[in-house]
Amino acid sequence: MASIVSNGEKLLLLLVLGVAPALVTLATFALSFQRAEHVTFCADCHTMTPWIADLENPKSKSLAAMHFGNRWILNDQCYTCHADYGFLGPIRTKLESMGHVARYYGFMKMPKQITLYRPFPNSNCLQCHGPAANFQNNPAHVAVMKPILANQLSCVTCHQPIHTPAG
Amino acid sequence: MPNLITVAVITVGLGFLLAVPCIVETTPITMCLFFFFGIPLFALGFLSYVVAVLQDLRRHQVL
Repeated sequence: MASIVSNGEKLLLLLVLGVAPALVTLATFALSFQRAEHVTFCADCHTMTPWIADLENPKSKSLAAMHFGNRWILNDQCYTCHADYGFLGPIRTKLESMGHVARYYGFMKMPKQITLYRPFPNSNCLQCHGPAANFQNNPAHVAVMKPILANQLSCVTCHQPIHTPAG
Repeated sequence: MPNLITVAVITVGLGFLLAVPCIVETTPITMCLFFFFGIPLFALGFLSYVVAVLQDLRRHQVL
């Protein structure tokens, strides 16, 4: 290599083959994971079409549609509810979403029915509703506040339906 | 230019080509292409470069 490549060219090769790809990878990671939080990104996969149609249906009475239609969540509505609240929640959600993309394009086996990986945690609801006076002072909540906060009684036990993809 | 360096330039170039659509418009398919093919191509390119450097160092009896 030394006989035909000068020192300047060696440095250029190191920049082009090592430093630039690393920087591009980091930038693309940050940019694409941030963009992947948008509803439009989730809607790109045809698997999600019924869920997105329900979300955008003004007549739907599902919790998701009401949160979306009434702008109770301003942006990134899918991600806001489905990324587990906490330090590792967003990271785990994004890794799992890469698994969804891989499955969708045939790298892994696609499940016949979409299901949550684990029961929906109350903390995802309480990140917004927890400090709200109408949540804390509601007699129905006060009576079961401890099990709600301990995630022993799920919010979705009473608050249904979450999604109505069939219409 | 040695063969390994040529391989490295081509694979890293392909990696850059796959990064462009993902940066311009991130969709599941552009993201998938970059993450599952672009990044491995970058890694392969860098590995080829490192092997070429090591071969060169051995040739000059530095290692």
